[in-house]
Amino acid sequence: MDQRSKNKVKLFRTLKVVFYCLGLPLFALAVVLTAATEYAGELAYAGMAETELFASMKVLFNGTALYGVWVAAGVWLLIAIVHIVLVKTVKNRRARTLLVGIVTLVVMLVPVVVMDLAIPVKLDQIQQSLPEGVTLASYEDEKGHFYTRTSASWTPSGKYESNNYYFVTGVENFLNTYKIGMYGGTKGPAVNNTSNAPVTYGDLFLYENGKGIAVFENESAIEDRLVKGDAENELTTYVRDDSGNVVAVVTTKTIDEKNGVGVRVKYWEGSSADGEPTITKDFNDYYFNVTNGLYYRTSAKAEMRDGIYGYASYNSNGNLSDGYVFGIDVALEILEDYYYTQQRMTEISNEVTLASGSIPSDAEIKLAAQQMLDYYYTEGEASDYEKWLYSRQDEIAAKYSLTTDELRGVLDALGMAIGDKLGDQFGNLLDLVGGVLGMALTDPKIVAGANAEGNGLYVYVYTQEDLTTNDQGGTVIKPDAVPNISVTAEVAPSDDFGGERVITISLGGAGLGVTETIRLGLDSRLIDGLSPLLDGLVANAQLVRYTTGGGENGTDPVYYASVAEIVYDAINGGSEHDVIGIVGTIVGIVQGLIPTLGDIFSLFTFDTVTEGNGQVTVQTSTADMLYGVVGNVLNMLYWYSSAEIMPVYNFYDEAIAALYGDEAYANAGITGFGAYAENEYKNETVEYAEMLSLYDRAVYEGGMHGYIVGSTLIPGTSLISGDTLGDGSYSATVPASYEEVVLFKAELSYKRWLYPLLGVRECLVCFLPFVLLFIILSGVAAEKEMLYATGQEVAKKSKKERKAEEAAGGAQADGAADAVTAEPTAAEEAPQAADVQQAADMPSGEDTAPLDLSENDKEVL
Amino acid sequence: MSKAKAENKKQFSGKIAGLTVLEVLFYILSLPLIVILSAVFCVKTYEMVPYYSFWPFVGVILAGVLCLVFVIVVMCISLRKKSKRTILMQTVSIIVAAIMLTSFIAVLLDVILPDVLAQLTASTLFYEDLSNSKLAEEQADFNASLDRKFIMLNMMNGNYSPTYDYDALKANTKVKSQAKEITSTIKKMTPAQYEDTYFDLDARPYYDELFDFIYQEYVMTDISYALLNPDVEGIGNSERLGMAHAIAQTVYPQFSKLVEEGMSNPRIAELYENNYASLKSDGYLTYDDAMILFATSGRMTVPVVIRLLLDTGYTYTEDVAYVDEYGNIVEPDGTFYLELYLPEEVDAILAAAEEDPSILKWNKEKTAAVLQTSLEGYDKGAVIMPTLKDGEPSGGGYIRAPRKWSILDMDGKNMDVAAISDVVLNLGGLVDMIAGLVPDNLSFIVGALEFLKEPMTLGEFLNSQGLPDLLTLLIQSDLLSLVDGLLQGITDVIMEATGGAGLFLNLAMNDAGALEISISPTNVEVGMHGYQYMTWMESNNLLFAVISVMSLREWLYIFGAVSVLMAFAAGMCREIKSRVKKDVKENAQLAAAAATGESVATDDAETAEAEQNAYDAYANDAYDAHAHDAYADTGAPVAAEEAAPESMPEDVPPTEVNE
Repeated sequence: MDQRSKNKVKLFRTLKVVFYCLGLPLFALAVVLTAATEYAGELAYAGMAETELFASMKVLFNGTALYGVWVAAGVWLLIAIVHIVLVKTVKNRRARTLLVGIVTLVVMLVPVVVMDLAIPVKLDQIQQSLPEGVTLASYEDEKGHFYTRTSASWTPSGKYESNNYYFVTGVENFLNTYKIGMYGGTKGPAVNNTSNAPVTYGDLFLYENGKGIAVFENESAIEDRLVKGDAENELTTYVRDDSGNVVAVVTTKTIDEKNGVGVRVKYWEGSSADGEPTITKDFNDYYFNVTNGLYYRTSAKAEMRDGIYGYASYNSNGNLSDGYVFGIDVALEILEDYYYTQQRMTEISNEVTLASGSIPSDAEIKLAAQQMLDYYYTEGEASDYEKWLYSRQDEIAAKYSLTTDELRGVLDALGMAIGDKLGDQFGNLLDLVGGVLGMALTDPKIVAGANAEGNGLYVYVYTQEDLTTNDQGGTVIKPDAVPNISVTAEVAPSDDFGGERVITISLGGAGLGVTETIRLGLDSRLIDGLSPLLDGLVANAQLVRYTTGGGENGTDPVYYASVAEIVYDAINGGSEHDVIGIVGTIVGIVQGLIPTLGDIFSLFTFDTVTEGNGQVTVQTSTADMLYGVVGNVLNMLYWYSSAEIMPVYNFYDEAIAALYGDEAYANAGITGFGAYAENEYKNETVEYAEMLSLYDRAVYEGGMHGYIVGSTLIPGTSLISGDTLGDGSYSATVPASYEEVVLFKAELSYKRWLYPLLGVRECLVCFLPFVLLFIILSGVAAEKEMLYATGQEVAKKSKKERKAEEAAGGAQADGAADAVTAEPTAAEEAPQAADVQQAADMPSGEDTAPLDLSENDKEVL
Repeated sequence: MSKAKAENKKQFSGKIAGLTVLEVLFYILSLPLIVILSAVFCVKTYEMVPYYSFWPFVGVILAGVLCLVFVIVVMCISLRKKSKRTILMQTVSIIVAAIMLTSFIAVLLDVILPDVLAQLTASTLFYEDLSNSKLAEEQADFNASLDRKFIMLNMMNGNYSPTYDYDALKANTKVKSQAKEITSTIKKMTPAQYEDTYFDLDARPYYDELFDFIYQEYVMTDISYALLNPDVEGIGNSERLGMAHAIAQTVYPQFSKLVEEGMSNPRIAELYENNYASLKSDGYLTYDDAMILFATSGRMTVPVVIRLLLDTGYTYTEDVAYVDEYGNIVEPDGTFYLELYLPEEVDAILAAAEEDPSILKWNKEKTAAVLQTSLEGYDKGAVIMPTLKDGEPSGGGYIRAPRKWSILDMDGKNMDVAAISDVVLNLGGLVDMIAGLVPDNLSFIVGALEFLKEPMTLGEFLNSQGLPDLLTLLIQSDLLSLVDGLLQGITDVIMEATGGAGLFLNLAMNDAGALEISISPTNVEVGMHGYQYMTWMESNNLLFAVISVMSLREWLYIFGAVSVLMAFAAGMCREIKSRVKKDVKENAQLAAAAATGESVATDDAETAEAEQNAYDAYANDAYDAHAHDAYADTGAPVAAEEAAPESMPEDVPPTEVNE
């Protein structure tokens, strides 16, 4: 073979590869690039990673971003398989090329056709499931707009303003606004609820003979001790008394060591573990936490499972666990409930109102539900363990919330801290102020000064009757006069504070309307003492609250007895007192205009009784009202929620049943039992209660729980959590109505797979002719390569060469032929000899690979 | 002729030797160089933490192992006598081995280590923090500084030895006089002179760290110094700087010694082990629920903070210490007592025990006692260990007791609440108004307010002479007592609210004249870092091992590429050597043949010259076909070429390796 033919072989061999690469590989590369630039890395197309290990890869491969890549890979693979099969079966090169082309055409077109047929049907199905008013974009519309080529649609950030862009940014906005991820996750793998504390022996509960008992509840030696354990071995604990003497021995052993479930406890009274244990019990409803070596109640642990809002971390009572941070699906479920239930409840109410009917109010339903809850966990169907747990709720709640007593404790600590650390300074200050007052006051009815101990002051106010004239003609206080008002302040030890120094302000005297001296301090006495003082002042002022029909003039006045009553009337209206009545009216009007005021006023909680005459008596004392305000404010920040006891909104349906007189609840003590007749819109009420339950749950989970985790879904849930979403500023791009939420949910359900598929569809359509072209060209190049390599075709000499040869003459030409090799001529004349010569003649490396000459003659057309 | 032959042979031998040297040099410039680079890094790291024995050298050990494997691979491949593979293929094998031992290891590190490292360190240390030698060096420096700070913490709180307790040093007359001296010196200095004089780190390594620690954590939280106004421009308040330097200079010799010993010092190691157990078991693990993980994931919301502070937690330690029948003090299994130097509390308890001996139960050696009642804020079971002199308490001592840890102790860092600067008080009008209202007999009050008439900064106000006079008049107290009482009162309230967990509110006038308000946990008091850093310290040796390995990462990539080239170059050397040897052998055969017949009666010199030309042509462009042609023109090696297998590239001598 001459050099020119060799070069041709090289050329066509290269072209064969180049053409092939410009076909399917280039198509696949385009699909990969499309996936990489449009879908991969976008949260909207991310998959879930259960664990942190290799999470980035899991997010990519579990997501939908690579759907197009898989389709492209499948197309290529299928064509490649067919190609290989054809190589083995079809000997005719040109026919083979044609067949590969046909197969390529079919294989690349089939996905396009399938998508065009199936996806519209799927979108129609989704559209059918959506409520009225929520419209999805059509398949044709999506095909046209899922990406854009128009230059003007490029934003400064370099993103397409396409449907895909809007979808991706919509998802990002949603996630960023609420500070959540695509998939929810828990922040506490061990316990996942703040109140899921390690159990003590007194907490261990089991069933014997069908009855539940807390076995060690009364074993004083160990009832308050933590149940400690070892991952594999039995752990022995020697319980000692205050003197260090062993009084009991207890051993623990995990029953199912492999899964860390259950604990076997052996308990010996006395100083040794010799002999049979006093108690041996297996507690199966507990699990071992290897991290800290303690046991926990299984039913108090959250688990990832399907629940009311889809796959999330739920407690056994159905609530989301404290450690759970929403995923986008769960957040949308909550928002959908929140918006839909409001819409539906309004519809039901309007429907009933228009029919001049009535259904139970929210307050009635909630009160009955609370009573139902209480009934369920005391006498109802709750298990023995649940009833036992319910009986301890106050005790448990005290650990995870601030009670009034704890609040008093903190205030007292403040008082003692001031008295102890700054007692001298305050004493001196009072002493100085007393002295200054003594010098400054000139009214003879007021006597003031520093006390004898030098740690306080006194101010006594007398009446005019207490004044007399002394021998010098001066006005003085009568010796036996009692101050009408007395005020003393001192820093002195107090028995009420364990002998610690505290600042005490004493107020007394008839002028203040108090019968006993009231003592205040910068501690709990500030509220406890101030309340009777204020109530005394209110009572003395004789402010008319309302009048009755008795009395000489047909009107017996009923006076205000406490500040609490005034506040109640000011908030709720109804007072006959001029000022308070007007205030109440104004408050009612303003409250309607400024909803936040309602939140503020809801901080004041009162126990009331409605009298026979329709008047409301306030039973809450002023002190309790003030503590209630502080407590309610704190409750917005710090509240207890059990992981096992069901929330009250779980009982709204039973509450409705009771209100409509269901005999099953006749003994449950429900207020308003049977107050509504069956024909009084029961069906509507049942649905209304269901909506109310969903609404309250959504508010709690999306609002209060969201507030804890920093992702407040429901704005304005409470005064504290405010109107902002998440922890950032409000964004107008998140769905904020039922229709918008449903539309976003629907889009999330199909756009995640649709757009990557439309991406590959576009590539399939656009690349199809080029892929076919290059497959054919590759086949042609392969054929040409074979023809040159086998000598069936010989490269023509250039004109220059031909002229040179002609000039050189025949003899020289013969000599030249001898000097080089004889092979080219041989190859031209006898293709059969090519196999012998080829290895020597072909260029080195892979170019030297011989062609199968046995087939070549069949391939030449 | 024989002379020329000998010279020719000598010339070939020289070339072979030169090629061998070149080959070895190429190999040395590949993987072995990583060992040297790694060794440099590891030695620098070791100098920071000499007490961690071999751990900082794990990187160099790994590099050494990789290098050793490479050497073995090279030797096995290149020295094998009967290899059927060509030198080129052998070279390819060596290149693959080099890549596998360098870049592939780096790829493995990149793929596997990030998530593994994050998991092992509970997402407190990330691969990205160590991904190049510079970052790794910084991390190593930081981790070494953790050990140094732990030493400082436990020196200054008296835990290591009462001699270095801050309060004891502050009261020491020698230190006080030194402080005065330094104060007067600082007053005459410029900021540059101050820096040059006191922070010569070549002469006193780590002195700056020690000084900063004492100054920030002790002097600036000491109410005696905290509110002092800066009096030397650009430097700060000379009085407190003087005290901080005096203390730092006093403790520096011992500090320097402890830095050398590090965790190998028995007392430091003992304090670490004992007190970390308390922090972990009675602290961190009790918070190991949903809430603490919110702190590390940017979800420390107000409700979360409140829960972490106010929820009633548990303490793993439940049992109390007792004196057994043999007179030994026993702390039962599962109890984690924190040991602290608390001189005032020990003295108070001992004083109470003198009046009522039953409140303490002593061990048989009379060196320690168990508290039998609640006293001085400690419950029954606390172990009192007085400082002894001649077997008798000499004042002060240690207390071992369970600790109620706050969530902020787990973080271990101070929180700056506010820095109030640029405040100017201009109360002249107010004072005049009061003067107009107050009757004549109370004019002394107005007199006390006179100093407020002039506008002044907050610092000037707090340090003015009029303020103590006013406070004395009003409350017969000085400012420091007032502020101290206020801050202590706030601490008491917080402890009540949190069920015993401590927090401190600090007020200080910083050296820029701004009033700083900060909240600090009890970590300085107890001599502990936050939990994360204490945990790092627990496995600091392993972290140093990881850091030293990670310092290799980029070198493994870079020298992966270099090794490919070097191995290829070395392979070329081998091929040339092989060709030269072959030529020598064939020439010898030709010479032998020539000696027996005239047909080959070519001049030896000419033959040698032809061979040399052929070799040179090949050596200049071993893969150039012309070289082959030139070689072929000599006519001699044709037999060898004919013997070449068909699969061989035409320009590569098909020599089998039998060197």
